[in-house]
Amino acid sequence: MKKYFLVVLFSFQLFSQEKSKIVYSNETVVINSGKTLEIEIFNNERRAISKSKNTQEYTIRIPFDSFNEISNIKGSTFINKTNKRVDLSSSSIGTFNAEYENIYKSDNKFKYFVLPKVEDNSIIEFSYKNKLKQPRFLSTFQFQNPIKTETTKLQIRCQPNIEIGYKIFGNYQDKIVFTKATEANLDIYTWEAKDIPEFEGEEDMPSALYFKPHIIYYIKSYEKEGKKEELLGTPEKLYQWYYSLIKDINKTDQTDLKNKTLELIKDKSSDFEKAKVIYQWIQQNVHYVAFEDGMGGFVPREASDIYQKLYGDCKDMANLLNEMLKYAKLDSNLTWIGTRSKPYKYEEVPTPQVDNHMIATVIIEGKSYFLDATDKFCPFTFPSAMIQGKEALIGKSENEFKIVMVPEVEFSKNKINVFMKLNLENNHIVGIANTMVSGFKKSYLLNNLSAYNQKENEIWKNIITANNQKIQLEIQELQKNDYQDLPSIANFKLKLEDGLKDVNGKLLLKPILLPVLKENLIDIQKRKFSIENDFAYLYEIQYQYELPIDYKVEYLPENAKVENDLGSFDIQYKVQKNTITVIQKIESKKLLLESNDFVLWNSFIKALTKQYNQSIILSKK
Amino acid sequence: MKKIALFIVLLLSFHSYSQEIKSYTWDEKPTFKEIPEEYKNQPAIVLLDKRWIHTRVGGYAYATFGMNHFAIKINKSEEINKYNKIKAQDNGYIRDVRDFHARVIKPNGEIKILPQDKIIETTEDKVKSIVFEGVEAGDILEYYFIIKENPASYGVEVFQKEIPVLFAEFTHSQEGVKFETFASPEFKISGLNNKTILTATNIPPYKEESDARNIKNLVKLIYMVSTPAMDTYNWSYFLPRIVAKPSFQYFKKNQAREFIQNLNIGTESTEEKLLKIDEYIKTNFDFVGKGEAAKKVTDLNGGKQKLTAGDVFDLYGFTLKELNIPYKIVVGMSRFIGEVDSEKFVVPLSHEFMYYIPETQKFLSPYDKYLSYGYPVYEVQGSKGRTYNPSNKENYELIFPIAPTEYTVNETQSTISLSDDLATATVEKKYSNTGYDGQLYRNGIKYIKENEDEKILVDFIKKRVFGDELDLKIGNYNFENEEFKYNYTNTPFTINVKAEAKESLTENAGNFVLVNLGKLIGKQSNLYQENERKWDVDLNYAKTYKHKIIFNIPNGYEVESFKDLVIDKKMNGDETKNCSFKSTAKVEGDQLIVEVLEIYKSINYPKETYQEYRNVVNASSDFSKASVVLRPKK
Repeated sequence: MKKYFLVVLFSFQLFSQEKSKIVYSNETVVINSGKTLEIEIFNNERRAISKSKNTQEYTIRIPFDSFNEISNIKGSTFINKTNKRVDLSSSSIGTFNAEYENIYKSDNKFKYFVLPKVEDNSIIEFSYKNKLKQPRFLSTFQFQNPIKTETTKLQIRCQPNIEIGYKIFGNYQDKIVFTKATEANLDIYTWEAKDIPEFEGEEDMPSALYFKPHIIYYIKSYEKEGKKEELLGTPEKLYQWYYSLIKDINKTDQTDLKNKTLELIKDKSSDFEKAKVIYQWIQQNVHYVAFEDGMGGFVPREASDIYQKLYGDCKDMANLLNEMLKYAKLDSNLTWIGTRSKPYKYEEVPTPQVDNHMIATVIIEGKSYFLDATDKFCPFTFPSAMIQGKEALIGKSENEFKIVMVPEVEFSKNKINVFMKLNLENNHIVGIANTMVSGFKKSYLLNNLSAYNQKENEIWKNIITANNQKIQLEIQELQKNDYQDLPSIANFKLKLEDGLKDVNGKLLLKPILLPVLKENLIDIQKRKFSIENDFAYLYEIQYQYELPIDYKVEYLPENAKVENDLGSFDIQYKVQKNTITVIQKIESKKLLLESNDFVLWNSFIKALTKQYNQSIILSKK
Repeated sequence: MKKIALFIVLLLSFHSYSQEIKSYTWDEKPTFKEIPEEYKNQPAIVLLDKRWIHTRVGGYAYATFGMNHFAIKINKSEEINKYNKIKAQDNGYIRDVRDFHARVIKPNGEIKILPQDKIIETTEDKVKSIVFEGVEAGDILEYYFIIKENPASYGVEVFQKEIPVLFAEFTHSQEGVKFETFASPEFKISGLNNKTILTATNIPPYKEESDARNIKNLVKLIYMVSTPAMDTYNWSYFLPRIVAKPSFQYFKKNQAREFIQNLNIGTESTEEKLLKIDEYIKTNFDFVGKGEAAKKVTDLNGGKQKLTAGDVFDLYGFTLKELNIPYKIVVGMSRFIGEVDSEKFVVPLSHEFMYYIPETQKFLSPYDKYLSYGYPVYEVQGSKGRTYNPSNKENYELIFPIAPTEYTVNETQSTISLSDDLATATVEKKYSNTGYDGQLYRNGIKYIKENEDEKILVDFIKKRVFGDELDLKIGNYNFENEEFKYNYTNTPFTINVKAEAKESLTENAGNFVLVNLGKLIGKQSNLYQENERKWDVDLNYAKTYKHKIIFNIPNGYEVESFKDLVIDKKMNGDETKNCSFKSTAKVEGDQLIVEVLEIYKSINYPKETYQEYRNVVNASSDFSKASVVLRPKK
């Protein structure tokens, strides 16, 4: 039965792209250091709109928050056919609060307008001024857009005593031409690019920031009344500012918090156990509610307040965790970090753009543990999946900090272990399947169970059926074992109908029932961007087939093993008396499959699929 | 005197409802319904969900007061984050939040009221919100708020959630307006004067099912508000207005007359006339889309152009009238969304408007670009509709016809040859569709050709003809019977494709070679894991699949077994309404011929027959995994 046509057709209509383009997109940043530092950014853009039905191409949304002001919005539409220009009326510009699913309170807003009377083959223009109130929040400039860009330019105009820092990221860097000139006693920095194609995202790709050409620019220093003021430019300066934001927090009475900590750790003898019980208490009891409201988006709230409310955002949870760990006399520190969506390092981007998250880092017996309580089921000692392989800035004291790399969790710790004891009955395979799920695989399972509570049985069964939908399962035992050092356990009765082929008296048995990774072939001709996995993982599966008494093994496939940097498999067959044991071990080792990994990856998957296609032949004794 | 007394009573009752809602409060010590045993293990349970809308219009009043009172018991800590944030918000534009209170009731009965200073407000749209503090598993979260808004003329109140709701109540009271509700059957209604209360108890958790009327079955309540003098949505008022006179926006009546003249309609039969009208309009007129500006039409017979949907609908009606072809206006509704009300047009629900020709007993669907004169849109098949006859100015109920399984047929023929080393395969496939599928494909391909590049077209062919489980490269392709006119004769729309399978279709078992021929029928859905069913299965349309696979047996091999490819599953019961899957195979010379006939005769399969239905659906999926076993010739 095919039921997919309508969906496919609809999606075509929805995403149909006509070839409109940005004729130019210019941003001019004017920085003036007098008594105060004044930053004004002037944006203007012209687009050629080919089809008026693509409304998103002339619907403009200008985001802003309490750190900047948008003004002087102007716009017009020029209709080629009639040679007429229609101006955007100020009454059609709206201001709205931005709503995000995961953010409870935010000062994010946006100006919204639709250019008027757009017809096919119109030219639209719009411009606006953006006044920045916080000099550390100078922005990013994107050279690539959802439609083709003919010319795009960022220009910074400032007095020579203002020192500018910048760094370019993403593709097409060879197309970006930089010049620096002096004009009317001003330094003029210009980055200009031409003919940048449209950006089209792909499924499972990392953040677009890895690919879209963009520049992060910032003020290193400026002169105020003849004196040099340093803002940013090095991780040290960034940390100085970060420290200034946290130095005055946690001034309220924390007695309750301290008492709670002491109660939690009273029976715990080791630092490891103390850290664990505190971390898990926060995971279980404090709930993530995000705030992005002015400096409230940067300064953690009082730990005692969070303890009483039992909710907070990442920095609130990190602060509470940090305070509790300190009450337990552990070496813990607040830590700034960019999630995997930010492709930056602190040395490259020593500005607040570099990170977007906060955790606590605790050192126990010389080893650092990066604790992120926002993931309710992240195993203790694991960093959360989204910060693996990222730099963490650990604040030690007013002047001391450390930048360290958060390790990626080894694939072997994120494991699904399956043991199947199977019999062949008529043409069916029946038996039991016992599964154990650990590491990120376990936290993924528990997060899913929590999010989709009416699909509990389906989610448990999915441990098996994700790799073979046809297997029928009857749940025998389920153990979440959340907040315990034990894997989640699910035991099932299993039946696979027609799992055997009777070929003129001989039985053909395809013994590998869970063809893990089989569907993961990459369409190399089509795929442009790398593929991101949440974590690396391991499957260890053992099938134990008991043969019918009157049958013997006529043909057994050969053992096979392949290993490379991306993954590995090891499949072994063994016959002992009346039992065939098949062991299948699959490793997916990388978080990020780069495009130059694709050929190797596909050859690995093809070799693996070949093994999955092997059958055992049983014949009558 | 009696009249005066009644007036005073009414006045007092209006006044009291107005005051009552504004002074609504919760019980200081709340009591809730006991949680039934079946729901005790649920992660959270809604104990009460009370909503009240009071509308006052007239005199100096123009306002709606909305009250929401909600209480939920949290059983599992992971659920807290789903329910601990509240926004005092409704569908309309908030003028004022009159009251907003929240409290946490601990398992020991302790009540913690959230201080008012914890309420925050957005700067632009003035929405107030609060987060429950100190919540733990076992707590009850309770809140209520009263907001003043501009009155809305309609609304949809959904009460069913992914957790059970023990008590749901919707109250409406009104002054100066008529307030009508259209509630799911779970609601019981009671009322006095101008206050009506609808209640439902023990609403089970919502669970979506495939091929089910999920939206229709959702426990909800729709309301419409109107001023008493205006009952514009009553069918007896609403339907005559549609046909009263055409109200063309972008061309004039004389242009429409000219258009009809230029169609050169003479003494043909009604059927022929209708085909001519429908074909011209469907072939030449596209709808003005979102973002596109409609323009004055200078010549309706001037070939391809864009018209507003309303003008297209009226042009059909005007043409029928001018040509004296008797017709009726028909209103239907997708059976997946709801059911046409017997009394009136229910604004929030999406209705389908068509014309019905009594003489030919066929439908004209002006709003559905893909669909030709003939059957109605598939979504309304078998459901109740409303029809209006302009000649006698009466409206009646009608039941939409259901197209038979022979109408929509997907027929394929695949010829497959393996390379000498058996590593790759060449497939030539003819993929034909009639009926609803044929019309949708014809229109879909036309759209892609006109709006997209060839890459998208090739991707589409690959996905539709072969599914996404076969890694292959599309070579030559062509289409047959692309024009709209073929819809009238239900001539198949055909795609012929030649493709190279990049992956091997073969598997090894000792000397045996297994060739997965089943894959050639394309991706098949399955119900392997969907063992239980709450609702009937409802399909878009009845349908027949006919597949023929011609496999050229490779040199040096012979067929050992094709048992896998032979499947026979059939639903018992009424032969005219069942479904079945039957495949056969035979060797003819150096070819293996496999044939499949899969039939779904009904669009509705009662849940009692679900297991049999499931067996048939799964048979098609089993077939797609099936292989022929070859062995080297001796």
